[in-house]
Amino acid sequence: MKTYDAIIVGGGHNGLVAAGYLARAGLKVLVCEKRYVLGGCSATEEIYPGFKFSVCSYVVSLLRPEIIRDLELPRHGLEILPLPSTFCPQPDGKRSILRTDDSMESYRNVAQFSRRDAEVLPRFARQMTRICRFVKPILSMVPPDMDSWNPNELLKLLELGRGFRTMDPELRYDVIKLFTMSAVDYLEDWFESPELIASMSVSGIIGTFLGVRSPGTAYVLLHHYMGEIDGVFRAWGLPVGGTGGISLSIARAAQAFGAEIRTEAGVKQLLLKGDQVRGVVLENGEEIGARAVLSSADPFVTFKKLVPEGQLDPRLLDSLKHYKFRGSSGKVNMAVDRLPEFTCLPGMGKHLKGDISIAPSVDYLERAYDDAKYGNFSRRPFINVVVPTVSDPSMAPPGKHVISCFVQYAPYQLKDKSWDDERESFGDAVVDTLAEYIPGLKKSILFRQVLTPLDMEREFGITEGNIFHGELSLEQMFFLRPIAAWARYRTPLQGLYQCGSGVHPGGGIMGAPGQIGAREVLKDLKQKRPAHR
Amino acid sequence: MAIPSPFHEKTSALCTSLKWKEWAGYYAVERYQFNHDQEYFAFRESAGLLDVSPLFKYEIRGKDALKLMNRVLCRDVGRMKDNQVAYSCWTDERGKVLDDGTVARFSPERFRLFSAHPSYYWLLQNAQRLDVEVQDITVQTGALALQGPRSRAILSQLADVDKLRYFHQIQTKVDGFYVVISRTGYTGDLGYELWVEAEHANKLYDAVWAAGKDYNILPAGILALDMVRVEAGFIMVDVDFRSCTYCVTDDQMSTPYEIGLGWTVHMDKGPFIGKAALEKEKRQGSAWSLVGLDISLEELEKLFDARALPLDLPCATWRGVVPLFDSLTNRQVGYATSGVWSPLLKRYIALATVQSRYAKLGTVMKMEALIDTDRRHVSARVVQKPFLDPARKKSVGSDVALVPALV
Amino acid sequence: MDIDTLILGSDPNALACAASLANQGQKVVILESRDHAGGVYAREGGLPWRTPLRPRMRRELGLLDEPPLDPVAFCPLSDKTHFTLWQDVEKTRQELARLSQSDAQRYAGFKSFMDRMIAFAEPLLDQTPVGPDAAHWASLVDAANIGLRFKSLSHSDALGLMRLGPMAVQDFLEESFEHPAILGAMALPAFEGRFAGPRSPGTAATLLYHQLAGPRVALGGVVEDLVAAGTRRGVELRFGQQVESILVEVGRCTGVRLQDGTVVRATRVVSALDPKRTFLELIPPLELGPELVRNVTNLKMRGATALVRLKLSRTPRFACLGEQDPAPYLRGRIHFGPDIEAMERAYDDVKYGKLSERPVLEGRFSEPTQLDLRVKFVPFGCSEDVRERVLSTLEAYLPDLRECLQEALVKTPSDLEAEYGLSGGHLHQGEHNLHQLHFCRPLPGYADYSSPVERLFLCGSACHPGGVGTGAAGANAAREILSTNLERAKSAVSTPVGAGLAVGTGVALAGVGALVASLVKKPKKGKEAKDNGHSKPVS
Repeated sequence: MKTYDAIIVGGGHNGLVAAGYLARAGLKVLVCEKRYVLGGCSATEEIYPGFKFSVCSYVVSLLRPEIIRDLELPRHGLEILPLPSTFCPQPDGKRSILRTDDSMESYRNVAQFSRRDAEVLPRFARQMTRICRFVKPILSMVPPDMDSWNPNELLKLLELGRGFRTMDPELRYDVIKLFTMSAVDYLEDWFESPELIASMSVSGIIGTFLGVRSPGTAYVLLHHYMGEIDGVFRAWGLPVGGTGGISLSIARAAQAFGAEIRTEAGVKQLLLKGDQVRGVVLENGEEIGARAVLSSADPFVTFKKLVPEGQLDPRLLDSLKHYKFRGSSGKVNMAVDRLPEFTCLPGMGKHLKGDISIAPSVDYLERAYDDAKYGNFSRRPFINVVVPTVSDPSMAPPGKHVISCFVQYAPYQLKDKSWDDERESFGDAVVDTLAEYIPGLKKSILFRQVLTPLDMEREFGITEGNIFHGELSLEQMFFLRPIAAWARYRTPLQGLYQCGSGVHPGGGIMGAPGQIGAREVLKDLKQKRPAHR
Repeated sequence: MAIPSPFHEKTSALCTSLKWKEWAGYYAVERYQFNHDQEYFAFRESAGLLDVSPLFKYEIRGKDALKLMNRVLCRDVGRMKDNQVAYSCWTDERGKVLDDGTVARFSPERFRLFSAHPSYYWLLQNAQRLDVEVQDITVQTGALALQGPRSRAILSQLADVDKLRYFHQIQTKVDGFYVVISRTGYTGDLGYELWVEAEHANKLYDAVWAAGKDYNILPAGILALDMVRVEAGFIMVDVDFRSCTYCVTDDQMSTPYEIGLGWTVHMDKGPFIGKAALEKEKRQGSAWSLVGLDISLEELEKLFDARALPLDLPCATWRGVVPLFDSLTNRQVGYATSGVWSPLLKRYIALATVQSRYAKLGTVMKMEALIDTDRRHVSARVVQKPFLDPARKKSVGSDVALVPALV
Repeated sequence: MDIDTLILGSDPNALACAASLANQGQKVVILESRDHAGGVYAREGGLPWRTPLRPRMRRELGLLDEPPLDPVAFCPLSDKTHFTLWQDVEKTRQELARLSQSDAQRYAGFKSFMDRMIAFAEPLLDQTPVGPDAAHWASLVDAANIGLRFKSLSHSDALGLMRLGPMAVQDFLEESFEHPAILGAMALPAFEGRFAGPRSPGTAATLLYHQLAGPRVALGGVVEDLVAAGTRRGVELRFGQQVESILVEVGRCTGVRLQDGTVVRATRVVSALDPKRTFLELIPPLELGPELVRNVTNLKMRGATALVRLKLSRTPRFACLGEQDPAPYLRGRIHFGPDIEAMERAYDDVKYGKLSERPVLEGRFSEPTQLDLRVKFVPFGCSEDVRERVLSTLEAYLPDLRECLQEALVKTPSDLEAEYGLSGGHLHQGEHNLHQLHFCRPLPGYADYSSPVERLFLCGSACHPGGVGTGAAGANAAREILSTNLERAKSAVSTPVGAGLAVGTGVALAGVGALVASLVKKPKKGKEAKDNGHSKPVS
């Protein structure tokens, strides 16, 4: 039996980051990826000849800068283009909210809706920056161990408490609000223009099964503000070569450090001896030994599928049942033969290079959510559109384009219907909605791929199609993610670790779970270095 | 993308250098000619004509207009007479400066406020429950600055400005349209600013241009303005201090006292926003002060000489952060934010923020200076501001207008 | 005689505050705009029930104990069946068993979990909230107290409490129950004072919150009792007093001016009115800074409950009871049937500013011929016919309702604002959202019942602990007022920064220490065995 220091289950960005860090520390590392391509949900695939798609995730901003530095990702091909704008066309076909990297241009645009709001925008951005400064360190810390008397753990708690206490009271109130309010309620504290509020509130629902008026979404809003590119908060970027470009750069970095990566090598189960992990069994039956196994799969897959039955405390498994996945989003990818042309802003422009939202009003977004609550996909959904080919021509033949649509809501559980029957009508709903803003869209479509949460579960192994490996709601974050007992990357099984988005600090192309998970593994392995090495 | 000002048709025809920059979202001429010297001297010797339309302009009307102005501004507008103009700053509740600008009182129920940053939100926020209407007239209003010793002679062909006193305004008609002419400006010299509805902007420009032809009127750009404003000791937001709206930390913010605007704070006028904090600061003293610096030419000359180079002086205002050090301990005690060689004064002058104990007149500090490729220290002495204060700035009699600036 | 304290408004909080202050020898005058005391809590107000007065206050004022309403909820269902939640656990279990065996089994465990949570949190009601800015030794004691009680929770309870806070009530209840009607009945209190539905996160906390003060009691003569208790102690009530403004001189409150021009001076003024009325209407506009005005404006006070009083010629027939005598069921609350999804749908409507198609109706027969209802959700400014919507919804349960209906009095949120001066028609003077609770209620920095104006205090349910008629806010305010040395400005009360920080860190340490200590306690075998029945996740 071949043996490694560490095997990483899953070759998504988090798994690869973990591999990179472990290999960098001199460990013998193997990454096992089930699919033919690396990246998991951040993969680029040529699913239509000549057109490359960021099939699932499509933009980046949360990727931790220290990972980029530590793994020297630019040297391995990481290139990120800034998204210069956010654009929200209005249904009247005339107006649009367009916020760009030009502050006065944004000012004038928003002033068409509300002069007051145009002036509040920079104040709001400043407040978010200040709050992010408080929250950001939390992203790179191991959640405190509530069970420990270890002074380090106590210090960590104290540090958090002190940070909160010494904060400017006005800022602290906003932190409390952000953690508890709905995106719309919070934004209404600042802004008056319903169009602007709607267009900004959508960051609060990405990946959640909540509406813009549901409390808790303000935090997700902040989570999306926390993204940074080159130190600038709230900057989002488009990875060259699609999000697979990121994964590949991490994979190359890991390989350069000596990690071994195998695709089409799905892990079937863990090999255990008592409650000590000994290695893994691949789907083809091959057994591989390891001192540590890191799972970047979500908690359900890790604990219910990888771990053989009967190995875990049933009461803990029971609490995992309450961990909410509830995938709520779908993806529609299109290859088109011309540039999409918006009625309200025809032609090429900055607006096409940025992030485009179909979010005409708060009520529209709430109705989309209402559909989903009762087990239907949204007839008129919220759509986040990106046209990567406008900035990155490598993704399609000249003159042709790729349109990536992130769509909410598409609940995993449909009422009395199956996604296999509904897939195409869901795709139609998306195209129909989009065509109201881009009249020429339908005629220009060469190819369409519709990914429902069920498809994502089947293809990418994310339970219930939740893109974050579990909702980013307050009761499943930090030391409660995924459940209190397993929140610190370790598990009840010795040698089994988690390094996916299902542990703190959660989803998005952030890499932090992989990085921190690897760090914890290294700590443990250092403590009990075996004699034979 | 920037947008054209109401005078764009005129200014773009004159701007042969094609040197433009963005000012509050508008195209603004940096310099009309390939060298801005002529424009600088126009301000000081004849008359420079500058498009200042990008300033934010608000009209405040209503029974409580005076109340609102006195609540927001540090200055007591109750003391102003109608058609008087005043310079003021305004702060948040902690006394941190939001912006500075001029306020014109048309009547107790009508004011205009001119600011560098958008101020609509702040006015609105403080106007709640007051009987007052705030209108943003930025886009509808064109603004021209005609500055220089000949400006009175030029304008008096268009309107009766001979009796117009410093920081006062008249409302008049030029070619049949309404123009407000205030004797204000950013040059510290004799000069006027003209406010006109955007649709008449070009007509006004033509009228002023025609009247100025015999007086060597010149269109002037931002570079020239930036020189004269440093000579006049005028600070600029985003350069010499920051508006607290855009600051992330308290350290980045300033109070009126710290930027030398203590004189605009009227403590005896009743409550205004920031009063409590400012009263406290006034009692306890400020940590920082804004001073004028005179930089030693002798030392500079020596340093250049050591590199076998001729003296190289900044002939356009630099904006930035240049550290200042205690001359003995070499610890940083402040920073200069804008500096320029004054062709008229023949001095290298700068504006700087320093710890208050270094603010005494005559204090000598070391300022970092770039000698070709080397960073060196030269002496900088705290001197009286303004560096240049011509008598004609405030004079009413037309005879004084032509007395040289330095006499 | 000079007035020590002038109180604006006469709801139970105002009356409780007045009585407490008078008890300490203060000359207290209450100004009420109507011709009788109590505001919406008066018998005419139409509230079907309220939370009981705090026990300490009852003792202090010599008032009688208040028996809880039983049944907790009688729930007629649309399919003409019914079930009842009783105060008695076993009796309830049997009821639930008719709908779902599993729910019935889990009920006792759920109830005992909630009871433990209540036991932990209830004392908070009588304390002035300890916020992160706390720098006073008394707050330190309070904080330590909270820490100690948290420590006494079992490991699983502590985690359960932390998880509960941000959850949606539906998610929280679904961890224990499955039957939609049972879920609905259990969830109902979570929406009191909320503009939220069962799937809105944060409602689980409201569910707990509304049970802290104990089971609901009849409205009864609480106002009369409190007025009598106050009057005995010398409190003077003046009716028909329309306050025009609060007088502020150099940042200090000196009294009020009435609409007829009369000036009433007092050493201090206590407002039992909501913060929007107090700060944005009564205090002169230039006295408050823009940041405070912004915060007050932003307070969420979206009233969505209408009060409907149906006067009947006789008790109507319940379809679900057939020929059975309804009397035993009518002593408590009645929850007219919608399951949890219907409640979500009712909330959906109000989100879009519409009256719910099928509103959630909870009520009580305050007399055999008078049904008082709380109707959810009715948007502020509702123009639709609430009366008709209520009657048509009720008909499914009370088929002969229209025959015995004599009069229907409807108070929509807009009416409540107009009649009782409740901004937004919000009965609790502010939603019980997480960011408007405890040290953030009504606003951070003012949770000690003070205000930005010296000698002006707040004592309404806008303050901690909010609620419906517990009088706790009033009593807490009175305590704070008595302990505030008037000669010191508010800013001077706080200790110097350094000392404050040191003490504060102490508070944090005590809290965190207790927190960690509590979690260190591993689940004990015996304890867990007892816990097995309930469904809280344990780890």
